[in-house]
Amino acid sequence: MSVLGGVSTSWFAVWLLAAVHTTTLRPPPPVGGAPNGLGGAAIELVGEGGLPPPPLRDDEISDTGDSGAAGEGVPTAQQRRESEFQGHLVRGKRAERERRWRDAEREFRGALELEPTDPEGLRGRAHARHARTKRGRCPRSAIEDLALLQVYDPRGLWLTERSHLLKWTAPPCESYENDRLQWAEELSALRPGRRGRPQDVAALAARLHTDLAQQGHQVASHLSAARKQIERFLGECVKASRRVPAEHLHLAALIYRLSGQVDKALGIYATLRGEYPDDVRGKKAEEELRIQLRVAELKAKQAGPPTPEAEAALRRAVAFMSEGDLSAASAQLDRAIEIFPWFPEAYYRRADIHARDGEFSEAIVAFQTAIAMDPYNHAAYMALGLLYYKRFPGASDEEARTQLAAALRLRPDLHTLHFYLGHLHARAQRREEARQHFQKFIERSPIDDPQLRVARDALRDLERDTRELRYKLPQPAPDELNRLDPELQQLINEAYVTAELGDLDRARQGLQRARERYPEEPAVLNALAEVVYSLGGEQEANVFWSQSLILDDNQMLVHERLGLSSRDPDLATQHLRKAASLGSATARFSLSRRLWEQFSWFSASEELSEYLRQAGPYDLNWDRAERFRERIDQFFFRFYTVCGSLFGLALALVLWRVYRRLRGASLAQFLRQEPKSFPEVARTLSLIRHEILKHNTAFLSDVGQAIAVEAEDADTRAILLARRLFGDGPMAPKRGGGGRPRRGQRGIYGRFLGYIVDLEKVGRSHGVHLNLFRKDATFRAMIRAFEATAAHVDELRAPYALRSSERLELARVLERSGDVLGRRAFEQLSGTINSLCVVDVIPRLLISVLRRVAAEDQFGSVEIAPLRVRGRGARIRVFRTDLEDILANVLRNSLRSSVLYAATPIALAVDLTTEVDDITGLTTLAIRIKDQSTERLTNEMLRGRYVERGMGITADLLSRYDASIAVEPEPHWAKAVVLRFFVVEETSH
Amino acid sequence: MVEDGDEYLANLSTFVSGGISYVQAKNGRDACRMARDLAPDVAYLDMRFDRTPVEDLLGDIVQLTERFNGDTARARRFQEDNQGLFVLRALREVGYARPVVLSYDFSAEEGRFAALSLRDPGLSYCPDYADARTIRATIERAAGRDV
Repeated sequence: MSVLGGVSTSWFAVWLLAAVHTTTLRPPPPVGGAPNGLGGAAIELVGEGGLPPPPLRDDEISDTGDSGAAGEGVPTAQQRRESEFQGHLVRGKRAERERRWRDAEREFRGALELEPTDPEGLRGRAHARHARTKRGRCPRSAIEDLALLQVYDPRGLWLTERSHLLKWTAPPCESYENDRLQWAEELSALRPGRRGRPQDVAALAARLHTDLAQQGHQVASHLSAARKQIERFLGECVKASRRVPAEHLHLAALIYRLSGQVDKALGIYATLRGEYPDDVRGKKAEEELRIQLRVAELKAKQAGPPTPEAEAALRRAVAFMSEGDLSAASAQLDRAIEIFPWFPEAYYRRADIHARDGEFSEAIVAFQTAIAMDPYNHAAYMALGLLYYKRFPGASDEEARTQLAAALRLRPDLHTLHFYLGHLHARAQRREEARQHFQKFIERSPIDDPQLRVARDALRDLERDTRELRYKLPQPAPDELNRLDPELQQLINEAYVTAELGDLDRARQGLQRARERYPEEPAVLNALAEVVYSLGGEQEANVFWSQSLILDDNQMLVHERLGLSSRDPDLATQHLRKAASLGSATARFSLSRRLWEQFSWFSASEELSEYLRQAGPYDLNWDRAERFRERIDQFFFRFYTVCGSLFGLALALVLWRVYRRLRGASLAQFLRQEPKSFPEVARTLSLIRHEILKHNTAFLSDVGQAIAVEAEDADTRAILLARRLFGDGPMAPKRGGGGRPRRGQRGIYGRFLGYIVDLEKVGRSHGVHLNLFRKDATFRAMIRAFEATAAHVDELRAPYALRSSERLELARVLERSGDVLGRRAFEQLSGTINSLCVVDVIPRLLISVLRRVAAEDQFGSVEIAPLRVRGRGARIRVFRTDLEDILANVLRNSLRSSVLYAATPIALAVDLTTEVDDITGLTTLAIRIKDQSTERLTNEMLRGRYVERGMGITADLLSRYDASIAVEPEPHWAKAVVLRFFVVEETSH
Repeated sequence: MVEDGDEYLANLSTFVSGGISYVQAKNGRDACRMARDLAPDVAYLDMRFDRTPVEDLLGDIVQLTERFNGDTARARRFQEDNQGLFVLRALREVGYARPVVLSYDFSAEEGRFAALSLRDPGLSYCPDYADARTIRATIERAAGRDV
């Protein structure tokens, strides 16, 4: 035995002194502790707490007293001391019985002053002192008194009293651990039932050993001793058919757990659960143990992240899958697994491809492998469950249910899982479970979800019993590749297992501690969010996930969770979009649904198409996606049909309006098409120019300037101008249909509109629709200028009532309109007319006309001399075609007449001369066509249409251009037929 | 002021009134009489007289008809359209030698105006679309005043 405590050291000293005392002053006490005299020196030496002599027994005291009283009559001093000693003992015991502890202690102390080593006195004083010790304090003096019995009465009272020491040295007493353990072991070693041996002393010894082991002292040996003691205790209980207290069962389980004997510990917990069903502590401890087991199991299966090469191969595979090239994707996945065998994501993708290819057995193995490598992979659980569900209906329902339930534990937000679980439970006749799942599914699904209806028929092509399939795991990756700090991984695993076993609060507490230690680790925040979410704290979970994203934004699942749970539509869309970009099929489908609800139909359709390319038939949302695709397609068909119809109708309306606006011709186009209309048009244009522009609108600018400078008679001029332009009555509406100016206006404006109507009539008489407002720049500007002025007719009629700013505005309008309707319109109208009807009469024109006439069949055999033309000619106002017709007719008649009445060769000549009228100053071009025909021809014959052969039309044409035709004598020629046209000056526009 | 309507008189009396008084004749014969009687500083002639009774129009309608292939209507219209020049000839023949302003835009017929000016140096013109300031300037320039 090793004595380490200070009290033990003092006991050792007491023992030495006692040994010396008994050796030098008195003989050793007999067995049984009988008193053998008192030593005064000893009393003086030790006093209270010193080295007392061996005590007397009770029976010895009475015997001694009796013998003293029956002695020689006069008691000796020793006899008196003996009597006094016995008196103390008797009174002490009486006080002890009566629980008068103070008196008892005093009497036993008095006895010990006479006999310091008396065992009975020590025992009595120890018990009195223990009784007087306040609760919660260590009865140290009592312990020391009682411990002396080990010295002074080792075979007597010590054997019966030492069990008290086990109790008295219990906490809060300190420094007695080793002595207490020694005493407990001594007592434990005794046969059960022996006097002084407590029933549970072996359990106490086990407890003391366990405590020391947990403090780190010689762990193995103490645990071994503890195990030995507890097994002894349990054996005693069994032997005695005694019920083991729950406390000792807990101790036994703890010892086994600390010893690594988990199965025995679980057995103890099972006993505890059976014996004490209400023992919550036992349940928690058992759960704790199971957590430790599960964590250990997880730890054995976790590996680090894949190598960059393997990761790259996986990315290529995912890309190929998106493109539908499953073969290439499969090759890349094989490559990834070859590079990094512990690659659960690659196995998951590989399984997906197997399933799509109809290789269901291989798919199951691969899914199981992925799950075994990564028990948190909810997608793998889902896919495997759905594979069982769809491909092996009935035969593998239990497997399907297990996998889907696991997925639901990991992802309680994926409510569609309830749909399948409901079906699976229904198939297994578990009506209540099925009802609950269907109820949850219905509660969380949108109204238009097609799966709200009856589940579709299960697929039937079972190929083989899938339960026989097994998977093989490669060797885990080395520890150094662990993706997380091992301690952190341990904490997360504990939280996961704790949550898996249902103790979410504890899981949360553990994760919060982990977070305090690893504040920069997203995995902690993610696990914490999962637990909080399971506890119903959706908002708080979102906060954790958001914080996790701050640390690492490329977390697909976190974005997916936030996207699915966020109440902010924009934020949810952002997360779903990010998750989809990171490869989440669930997020992409949800994004499609969300976009659809937000009326982003085209984006929703694109996302859904991408989902259908990315996911497979064993994705959770595949069936819904297919129905959603059908719905979108139907919608778009209707949408495009309606839109196409509406667009066609709108386009037709627009085109019709455009046609109505743009149909018809401008004045210039009309004149080019119908040159014969020119005189009528020219007359109307001339009227507009003369009556509208010359006498009225020319003063718009003047009135505007007068108003602007506030000339004295400005208002009078304005009123006069208004009356002249617009009359006195109210204005008619501005426009008629098609933007045409409405009739019914008064004044000059009304007259102007009347001229426009006249021009349109001219156009219609020639089969042309004139659109002067839309297609003729000159008239459009004039009409708008009139309209702009008409809009201010009220101000123009009462300019005196206008404010200064209104007067300035009116002045600006008048000046702008005056600019258009003044010189500019005048010149434009003139230019339009002139540009279309002026021909430069030059010799070459005449020669060309004659050649054309001479080429006619009637002159084919006639010899005609070249035409001689003299003079420079001039510009005249006539359409070229009309002029050519006129010249052709005149030349043809001259030729024909010459053929009949002149000598051959036939010769014609033309003189081009100009004549100026002295009254009007007008210049006339005379085209003198000379011939040798002697046929009689007069002006009356020409103008009276006596001459046929087209000359009547020629006369009409000439009149149309204010030209004339006459027959005049010509020297050296028979005559000259003279055509006269007014000349248009070169400088004209 | 010689015109077939009242537009010039009204306009010029309203817009070109300062320092100028106007008297009106509605045909050539009245103009000649007024020139003899009043001897106005300036004669302001309209060019076109399509509202004047045909019997009041100056010019040889027979000769004009010959010029227009015997078409009297066209001859008459020519007579109306150029009546201002016929009035000018009549004024000169009755001895009115003071400046005459013809309200007509000769800017496009400079040759024609040159021919007329050569015969009648006292002739000037004011464009049809002229504003009040231009008309005033033209009248005052013709009358020999500073503008």
